[in-house]
Amino acid sequence: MIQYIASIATEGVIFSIMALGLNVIWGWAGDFDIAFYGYVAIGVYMAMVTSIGRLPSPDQYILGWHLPFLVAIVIAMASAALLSLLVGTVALRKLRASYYAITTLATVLVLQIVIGNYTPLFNGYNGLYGLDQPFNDTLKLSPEAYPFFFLGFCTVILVLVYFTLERLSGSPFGRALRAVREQERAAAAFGRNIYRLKLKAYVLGATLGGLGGALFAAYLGAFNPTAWSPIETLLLYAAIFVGGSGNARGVILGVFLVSVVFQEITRFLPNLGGNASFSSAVREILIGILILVTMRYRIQGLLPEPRSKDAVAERVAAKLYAGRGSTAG
Amino acid sequence: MPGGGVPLADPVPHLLEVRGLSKSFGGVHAVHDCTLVVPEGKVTGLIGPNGAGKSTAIDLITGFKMPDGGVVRFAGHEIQGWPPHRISRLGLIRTFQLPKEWPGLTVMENMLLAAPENGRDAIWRALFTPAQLRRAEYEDRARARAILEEFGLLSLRDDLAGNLSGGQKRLLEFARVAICRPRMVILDEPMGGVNPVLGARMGDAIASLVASGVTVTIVEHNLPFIERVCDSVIVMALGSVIAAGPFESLRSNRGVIDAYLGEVAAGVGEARPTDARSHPGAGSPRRDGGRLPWGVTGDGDDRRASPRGSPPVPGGPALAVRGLTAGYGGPPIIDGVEIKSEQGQITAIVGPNGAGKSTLLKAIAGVIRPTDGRVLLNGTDVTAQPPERLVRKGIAYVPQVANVFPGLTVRENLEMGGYVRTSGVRERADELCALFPDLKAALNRPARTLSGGQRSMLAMARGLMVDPAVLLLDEPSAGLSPIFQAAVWEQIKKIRDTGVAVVVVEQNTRRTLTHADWAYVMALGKNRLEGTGKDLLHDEEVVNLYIGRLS
Repeated sequence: MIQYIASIATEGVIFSIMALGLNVIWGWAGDFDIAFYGYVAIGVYMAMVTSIGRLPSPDQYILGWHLPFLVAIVIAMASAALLSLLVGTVALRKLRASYYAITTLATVLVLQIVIGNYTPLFNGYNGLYGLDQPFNDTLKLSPEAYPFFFLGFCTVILVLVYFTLERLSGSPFGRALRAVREQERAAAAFGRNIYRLKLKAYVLGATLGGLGGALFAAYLGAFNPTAWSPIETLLLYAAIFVGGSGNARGVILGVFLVSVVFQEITRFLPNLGGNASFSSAVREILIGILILVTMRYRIQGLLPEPRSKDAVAERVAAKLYAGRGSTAG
Repeated sequence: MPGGGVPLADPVPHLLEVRGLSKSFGGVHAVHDCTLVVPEGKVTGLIGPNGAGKSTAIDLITGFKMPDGGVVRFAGHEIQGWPPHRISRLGLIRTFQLPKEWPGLTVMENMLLAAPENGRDAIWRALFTPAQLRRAEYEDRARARAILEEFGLLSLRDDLAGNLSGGQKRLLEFARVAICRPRMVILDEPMGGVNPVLGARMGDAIASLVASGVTVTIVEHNLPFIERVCDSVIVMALGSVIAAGPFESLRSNRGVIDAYLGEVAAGVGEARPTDARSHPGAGSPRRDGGRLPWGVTGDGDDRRASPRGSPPVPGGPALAVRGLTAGYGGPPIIDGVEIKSEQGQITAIVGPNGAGKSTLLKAIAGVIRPTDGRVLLNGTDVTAQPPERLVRKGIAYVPQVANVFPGLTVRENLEMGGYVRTSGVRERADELCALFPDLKAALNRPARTLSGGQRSMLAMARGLMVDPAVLLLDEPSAGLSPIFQAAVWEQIKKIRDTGVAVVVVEQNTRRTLTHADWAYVMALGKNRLEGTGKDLLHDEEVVNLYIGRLS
């Protein structure tokens, strides 16, 4: 049982990292990006092909390096960033709202089909496997202890991501992004390059998607194109909507509520009518209802976007600059 | 500061120079060969009637639209075709007709975002903030607090800007410009929906901007305000600049008057300002507090004044509007308006921009809910009933835009117009085809293939399908060539002759007055003048309402 809890907690932590990345794109910049899970998938694949070495044929895929997992993570993030830069350069220039969403949906579908059919890239529909318990070659932990180490490892990364994003969110950069989200024309009128800001947010979010993907690769051990689809992106959106767009703590709460609690609780439902897909159908219905209820009764989510308090900033600044003399008018 | 080292001997240099600026949308010249200059450190007004191309010109100058041709020179740079943020960073800031605050951010954040950015937005600066940057942010906050205090918004600084009132949003717009310290600001209709008290405050805000060295250009329909605050004025009409100079010099400018009132229709003599004076009898126009035509500061008892006497009565009033007050949630757009419309007569409602003409029609037709006053249809109170019920009772409303179903054929459009009829749809459609020969030939064509004039005809015919007692027309001739305008007016007269009470709102004041049996002149949401069309046509007071007094 405790093994099981560690396992779903790890999944929640990894999904939280992905959702925080998507929250930069949607919650901060306001772009409804459906291609996001494509960046997660690229992260998974790149982490695999740079760390598992060569599998026996007939499996075929690019690179086939045997690099340390930490290096694989960095490569996974860089690959996701590069791909998002390409997509964002085209999609963010003029397209907005539904046009943008449709473009990114098409992008992720094309990506999925290309990876599935072009076998030499990531072994096509057979997918990749063999990323087994990174670091354990040196740590030599028992199969019972390793999941707890990995949970700890992912949690440390989540904490790092969380604090970095919190810092960015409250910075002039985060402020400018939210201004672009709220009212583009006014942001341009006050000197903001809307396209550049949106592109920065997009690449930042996708990079975190790649990071989440790399960790997910180690968590799953195997991955193929049937495991990722636009639906996965929508599940992340469900978590963000329910938890609170633009609020990092809300997003993490939403992930644990939607992706973990709902996913896992429904597993214990009695299997009515002997249909194997019963519990997953109930899960999807419940998540749908949860989103509807949130949209109807609490559009800002459980934890709304935090509001900056100038009164607080004033006190902090007063303490900081006390006795040094002020030049401000 | 801008304008600092200018030698005194020089004439005031031009901060902004626009030469031959052009932009067309689908063959329509919105701005055509527009040439103007804005002197540094002065307040310049940019005025002109609706559709003059003022807003498009601003969009072209500030980079929000791409010009087809022409040169824009600002502070020594040729900026035509630059993206808006680059133009903004050069020190040319603009505001928008509707305040565009960042609603989900606090008032303070709105201010900080308007302050010069100086590279603070960079991601790496957010992660590794140098001390001087933190200091700059602190100083901006202090400056923002001082400015907010000045505008009475300090206590709201941690509130979301979207929760401010309309007036407070206007003030925040000024506060943002103040903290931005641009070289030049273009204010696009800053007085829109602003009450007189706030208006005075706006004047002060502009004065203090100028005092701090900012060059100000104001686009505004409120001409007394323009007269009060502007050093000189540029007049646009039909996409070009038609006059420029001090305000007083423009009042007697024939071209300016024609631009505001429309060309003189054929068959009617030149406007003779003295005519009205020489006929002080029953037919002469009545004035309701007309002494303060624009009423920005003269808001007073005249709102309660009701028309003395009544228009000629051949059949009894089909429509009577008593003290109607309505708006869109903010301050009322129309305030205590009184009109009557007789069967078999054309009743025209004219007046300068922002008079509330279209709002009046919407309030009568039930599209918006009046907050006060009554609408009587043949003596029965029908105030604030929903439009679908009013259509059944006999009030047909033809909006200015989106007034036909483009995907349906002309016949289907007519049938839709007769939707509430229980019988006789076909017969009525045939009757209307006889009345509108243009439509008969096009019965099976989709409405989207009709010309502008035909569309206007179809919209009127569709309104008439229910056999209404009252037909409300919102600018039926807008955007049409003079020939088609004439055709539309002939059609309106035919409709009148069938016994319908026709209420027409129009921009082309002179043409409208030549055709109207009775006309009301509105300004700033209130009745100002009324009389027969011919009398008002020769009344100098009408001109005053549009372009201010001939002193």
